[in-house]
Amino acid sequence: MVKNEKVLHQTLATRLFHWTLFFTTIFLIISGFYITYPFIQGLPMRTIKTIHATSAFIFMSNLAGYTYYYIFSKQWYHIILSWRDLREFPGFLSYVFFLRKEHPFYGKYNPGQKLIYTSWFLTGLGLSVTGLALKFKGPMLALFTPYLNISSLRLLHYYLAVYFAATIPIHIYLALTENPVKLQAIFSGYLRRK
Amino acid sequence: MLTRREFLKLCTTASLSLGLSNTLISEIAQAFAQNLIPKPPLIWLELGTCTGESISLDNAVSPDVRVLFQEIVDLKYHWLLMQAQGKRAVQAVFETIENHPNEYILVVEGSVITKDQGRYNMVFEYNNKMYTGIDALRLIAEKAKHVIAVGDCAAYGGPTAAFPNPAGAVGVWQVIDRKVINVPGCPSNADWMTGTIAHVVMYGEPELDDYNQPKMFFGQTIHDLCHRRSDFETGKFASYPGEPGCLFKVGCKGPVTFADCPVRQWNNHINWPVETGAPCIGCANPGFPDATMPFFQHLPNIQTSLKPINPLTVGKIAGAITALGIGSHLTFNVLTGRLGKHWLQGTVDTDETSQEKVKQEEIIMHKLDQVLHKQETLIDHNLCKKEGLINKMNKLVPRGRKKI
Ligand code: HEM
Ligand code: HEM
Ligand code: SF4
Repeated sequence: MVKNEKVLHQTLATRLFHWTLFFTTIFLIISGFYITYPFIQGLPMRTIKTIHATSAFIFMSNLAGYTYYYIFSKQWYHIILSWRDLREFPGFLSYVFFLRKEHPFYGKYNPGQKLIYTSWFLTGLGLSVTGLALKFKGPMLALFTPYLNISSLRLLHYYLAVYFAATIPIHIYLALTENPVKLQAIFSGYLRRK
Repeated sequence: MLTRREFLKLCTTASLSLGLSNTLISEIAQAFAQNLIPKPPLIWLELGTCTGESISLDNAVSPDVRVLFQEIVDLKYHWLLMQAQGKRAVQAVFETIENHPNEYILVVEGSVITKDQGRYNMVFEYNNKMYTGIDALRLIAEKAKHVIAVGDCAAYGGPTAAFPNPAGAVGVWQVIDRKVINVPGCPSNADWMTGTIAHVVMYGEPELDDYNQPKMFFGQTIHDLCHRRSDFETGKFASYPGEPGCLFKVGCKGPVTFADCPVRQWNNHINWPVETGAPCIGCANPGFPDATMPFFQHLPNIQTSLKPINPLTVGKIAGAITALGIGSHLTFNVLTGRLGKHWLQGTVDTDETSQEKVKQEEIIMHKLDQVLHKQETLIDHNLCKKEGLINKMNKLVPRGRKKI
């Protein structure tokens, strides 16, 4: 192993996608739950809805770009959960819950990260489809007829948002506490080896 | 006779001051008088329900339901609103099927009770045979020219099918194998029923949406037509029913209900819920009432046999679990010294990927994996020579190692 080596860990593409994702989801979650419970009297709903719709548009474009990137760069195996990850899951959990001091080498991301990223991909798709149906109604709603009506779609959109909002803090917490090397790499792109 | 375009315009606008039924009836009477259209026979079948649609029609003041059934259509059977009784009344049903096949209109009110072959809903007796709702429906619908389901029960099951639905109530379209025009509402507005029946009589099937509801009445959400919409947009919300302001926070289902109540209004165009300070309960929603209950809550509960699941409570519990999880993990992280170790190591990586000790063979396996993958990628790239966005991105910032 070369000493003091500088290694690319996050390409420019993943960094751009990541930080766009970060800003749009934060805006979407705040504006979205504000729609569920608009607690500030006199704060225009129109503004909130515009924020939600604009961030949603960027979110969906970002999701499409992200997916394109991972498929065509053939890097998807880094972030999509595989059977092998599932087999390794118990061991990984015992590391997370302090039963083991170390964990084996898993590749770019560990099974827990992969589980969360994969579930977010699906949740993001679900939020996009249900969100578009709520926004454009008619032809989009017809896709779900007669299994889901507009009322159940709104409920589904809400529950998907709850999942998103409840798992993001875990990601941020672990990003801040697990490995400062990787934390700075999501900004700078590179890792430096000893 | 009115052209179809004029008719639709009437349905969506002129109705407001005059009353749709009022205007329609004179137009239709004229068309009949000039023999422009035949007057179709109509069978009104009531299944599992509360008779709400008939009462709603009966509430129409001018003209009353009698005029409606006599001037627009030729009413053959309605168990409540006909003069004949007993055997003679039922006989009219069978005579209509026999004498006017593919001519008569069937209007169904109420949901179809399916539990135990439907025997909790007997509708009539004929030739010593009891007919269940399903039997009668299948029999009459087979030769009907049009089948119209009025009210949320007939259209989608409605309150009769609410959780836990002991009678196995379902909407008409789920039982018969043909197109059903759905006119929902609990009850359905007299204008929606009269308008749909009149359209069917004069021009045939109206334009329908994906739930087979006439677009002329159910094409827009209540929220899009509501008088208090400006309060919604500017964020002026009522915190109790009866207060001025938009009723969104007290559970108004206007945003998820397609109907024209704000312009059509109820009780002979006098008023409608939001104008009196009560939120819309979503009675024309295909999922009513389960998908819109509790009425004074923004999002519906999910009904289970144990307890209804409240979405806000679920959200709060999810938040609490996350906070608790992170809090306790952080405590252990500090106590076991793991956090300190991680942070002390700083931003220089100690080995291949993590500062944790890695088994040598794992690294070798992973390296092999990577080499294999790279080769596959290379082969693929050479094969298809694809110069996509990704290749450019990778060129911009090449993966792999750089020495400094
Ligand atoms: C991470 C992504 C997203 C999150 C966390 C999120 C969250 C939420 C939440 C919590 C609500 C309130 C639901 C309610 O109580 O009525 C909402 C409403 C809404 N969302 Fe999203 N959303 C996301 C993405 C999207 C997308 C991609 C669209 C697409 C256009 C969208 C469109 C809408 C619309 C139109 C509403 C209003 C629903 C109504 O008032 O009937 N959302 N969102
Ligand atoms: C302050 C907020 C955040 C920080 C500090 C942060 C940090 C990080 C770090 C350090 C990684 C790389 C992990 C590793 O190399 O092991 C990462 C990856 C990732 N993060 Fe975040 N993150 C934040 C917020 C978010 C949010 C809000 C989302 C989206 C919902 C998100 C989604 C992702 C995804 C999808 C990846 C995988 C990236 C890839 O390789 O494509 N992150 N994050
Ligand atoms: S009262 Fe109901 S329908 Fe009217 S603007 Fe408010 S939420 Fe929409």
